[in-house]
Amino acid sequence: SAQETLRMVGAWALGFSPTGEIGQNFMDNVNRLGEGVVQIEYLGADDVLPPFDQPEALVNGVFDVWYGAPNYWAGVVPGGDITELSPHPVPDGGPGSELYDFIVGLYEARGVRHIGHAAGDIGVGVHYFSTNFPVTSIDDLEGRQMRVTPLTRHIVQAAGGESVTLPPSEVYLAMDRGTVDGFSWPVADGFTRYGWQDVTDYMIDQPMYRSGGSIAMNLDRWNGLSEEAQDILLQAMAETQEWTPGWFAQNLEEQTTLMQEAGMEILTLSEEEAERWNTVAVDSLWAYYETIFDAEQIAEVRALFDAAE
Amino acid sequence: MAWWQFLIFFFAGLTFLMFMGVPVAIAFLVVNMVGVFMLWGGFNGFNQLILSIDSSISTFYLVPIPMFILMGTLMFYSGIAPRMIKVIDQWLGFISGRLAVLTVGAGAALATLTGVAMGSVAMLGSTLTPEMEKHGYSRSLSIGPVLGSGALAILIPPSTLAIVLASVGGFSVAKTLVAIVAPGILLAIMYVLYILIRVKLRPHEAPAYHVPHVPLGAKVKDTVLYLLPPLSIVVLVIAFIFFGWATPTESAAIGTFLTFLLMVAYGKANLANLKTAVGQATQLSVMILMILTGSAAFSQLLSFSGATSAITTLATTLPVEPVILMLLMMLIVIVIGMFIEQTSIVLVTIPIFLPIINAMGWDPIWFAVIMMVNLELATITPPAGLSLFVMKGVAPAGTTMTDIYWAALPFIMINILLMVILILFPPIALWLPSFM
Amino acid sequence: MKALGRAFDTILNVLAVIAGVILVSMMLMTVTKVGMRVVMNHGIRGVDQISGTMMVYMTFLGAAWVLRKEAHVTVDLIVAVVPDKVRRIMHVTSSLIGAAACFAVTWFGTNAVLLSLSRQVVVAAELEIPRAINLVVIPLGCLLLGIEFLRRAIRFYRGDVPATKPSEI
Ligand code: NA
Ligand code: NA
Repeated sequence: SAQETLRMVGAWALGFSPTGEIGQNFMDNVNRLGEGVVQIEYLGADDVLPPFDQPEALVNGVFDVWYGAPNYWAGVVPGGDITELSPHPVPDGGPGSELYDFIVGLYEARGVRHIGHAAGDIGVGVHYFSTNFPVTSIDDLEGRQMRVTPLTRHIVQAAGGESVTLPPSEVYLAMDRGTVDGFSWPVADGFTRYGWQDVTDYMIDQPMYRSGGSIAMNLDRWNGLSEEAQDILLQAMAETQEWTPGWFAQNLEEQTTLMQEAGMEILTLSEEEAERWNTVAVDSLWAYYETIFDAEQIAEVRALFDAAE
Repeated sequence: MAWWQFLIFFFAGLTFLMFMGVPVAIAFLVVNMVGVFMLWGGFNGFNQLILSIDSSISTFYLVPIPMFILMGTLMFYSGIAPRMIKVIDQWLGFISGRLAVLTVGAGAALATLTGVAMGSVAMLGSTLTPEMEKHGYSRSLSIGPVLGSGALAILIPPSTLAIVLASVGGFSVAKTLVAIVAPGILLAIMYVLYILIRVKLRPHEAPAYHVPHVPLGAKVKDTVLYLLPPLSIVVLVIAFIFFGWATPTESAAIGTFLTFLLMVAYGKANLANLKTAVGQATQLSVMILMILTGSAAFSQLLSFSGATSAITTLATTLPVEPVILMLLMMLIVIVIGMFIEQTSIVLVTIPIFLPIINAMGWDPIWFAVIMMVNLELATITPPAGLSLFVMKGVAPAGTTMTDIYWAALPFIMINILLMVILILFPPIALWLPSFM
Repeated sequence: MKALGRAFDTILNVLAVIAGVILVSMMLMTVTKVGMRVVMNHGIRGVDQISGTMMVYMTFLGAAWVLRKEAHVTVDLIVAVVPDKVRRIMHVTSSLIGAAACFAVTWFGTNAVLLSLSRQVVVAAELEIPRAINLVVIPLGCLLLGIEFLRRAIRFYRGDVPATKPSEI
């Protein structure tokens, strides 16, 4: 049969964002493994469609393959980003695992084919808070204005802080002027590229969630592919998931060094406070997922997660 | 279909529909629908078009647009504008060409009240133009400064167009608003200098006349009562944004609220005034936002077709100096600006310019400021500048469209001169926001 | 027919009042939020998001009313200079194009709302509101706008309207 060409759109322009490299890596893998069978053509990123509209556009068949942050799916596939809490080295367990099939099922119900969630090793390349006030405990967030993403808003609210939504382009000014006191960012994802190290005093070295990027496909398009093409895509994803930890470790290292060189202080919490912080982070996010899934599904996810340990 | 075929289709379709008299917002909608059908997978894509209409305007970054518009209409119906003009009038001494200078001064003051050109032109054209004719000013001199002052309304914050430009271009709204302050004041100064020189060379254009003496006490009292309060609201709004005490959206809302309080203080907050002010503001806001509903889809379709990246590649491989590229882009805006209004110009040009700006490594705020000066030009360039028509509507009987075109010409040249200055000396635009 | 027209005008007027109320509420809501942040060190969650939704409502509830007042931005460069007869044809044609485009959006917008509801899509922001709530006003507003375009076509066809100049601002 003829070679299939899949059109890909992503949340961030290729070559711009380290997390976006997951999309690039996946595309390279497919184009190498899939010669004569399946190829990916890159159409663009936020210039082509606003990032938060991309998931629905994928469902509508405007393009075929997507890369971005798992929590962009929050509106379309509720709980589709639950692998943010995964204790597995590969967040979704990787193609062939039970957890992977569960996640694929979640997306399939909404007209999407989940291809994979790639992230750093646990605790590497994840979400961190950076602030302009010293922090020794989660209690210090109380009453503070914190710029959040949809994923990190739960912990801020649970800690009694005020969550503020701002696009990355406004973070610099907001921090500099004190409109917000801190913000969350997956540090490995080019923190210093935005110049934030110049207006931020502290990074709290308390990793939260898995971060990373995910790949998804339009379900009809996936179903229409030959088994050979599907296998190539899954193989490409598995390779990307294997490649990602090293990539994130390298970026995190690079970023934290640059941040410190710029005079930022990296705060480490006491063991006890780190434990408390982690509990609030994890519990508040679980509490959110409990509003989405029924008790049975929650039990199923927890069992699949526990299988990792 | 190749990218250039799409490009021709997009712009030819848009031009045809607009010139047919189809409202601009609908012209964008129709072109988008055809584009979606061809590029986004037939009828499935229409669902996406509906989403993009929502995404285009359902953002709080655009909230300053209706806020600034409401602020402006509240100011006008508080009777603040004529009193401000009177105060400036009282302070001006026996300078030659004083009424023309007063027009620019009043225009700059009015500009701090409103973000739309037409309001200023209507007000100044209906009050000061007849006044100037009465005192024997030449027709050209009694019309030109009014047109120039209308342009000031867009450049000096609050400016709805600055919000539109920043939002479509993805520039910082706060920085853009702060960056246009200095060029706005500079433009007013250039207008005044021009008038002084012109009157010096051609005294018959502005015969001197006797100005009644106003005691200092009265001047100070009027200033404190009628000039300082509205001015401080605007200064406060800019300070809020500059110092980051509040987001542009919050600052605009606070400024609008303070204007309402001022209206109460002046005893003008009756139901009839409020109804007119809110009604006008709603009408103007809907008009602008309706055009913006097409913004996201239009630029995304251009990008999707490959036209945007092809043009960027073309522009960046052209064997010319970057400054030539800038001049070329500005020339395109001037030409488009002769025929269509500003929001639409932003919508059709920015998606194509933006990748070029990035590729050239230019400071986007610098570009935004030059673009703003250019966009205000569009209100006074023949044949279709909106301010020209407003002027025709309020000008003394016997004024022809040709009179108005000729009167606009020197002020068009001054605007172009300012653009050249900004291109050559970027710090004029970037100095103030550099402290943010 | 006349009565129907009057009833429609009343609907447009009522919606225009609602659009005006939305405008003022947006201002008051934001001011209240800032006030609470200053006084109680805590704003109100979701104000910015709701403001965004209100922008869509204001625009589409007011759109048909603005057309009734001939206040949508048009480029009347050509329209203003052609002979009366041609102008009438252009006005009628452009109104019909407007009506067709609006009815198409009504149709596809309704589909989009139903699809969004069936997929249970929510806006993943401070408040998780169904996206359909944002979307539903688009087909509604376009239906009214489309009808107003048809009336406008009839007005111009009969020559009821002085054929140029949109109201000045
Ligand atoms: Na202004
Ligand atoms: Na023009």
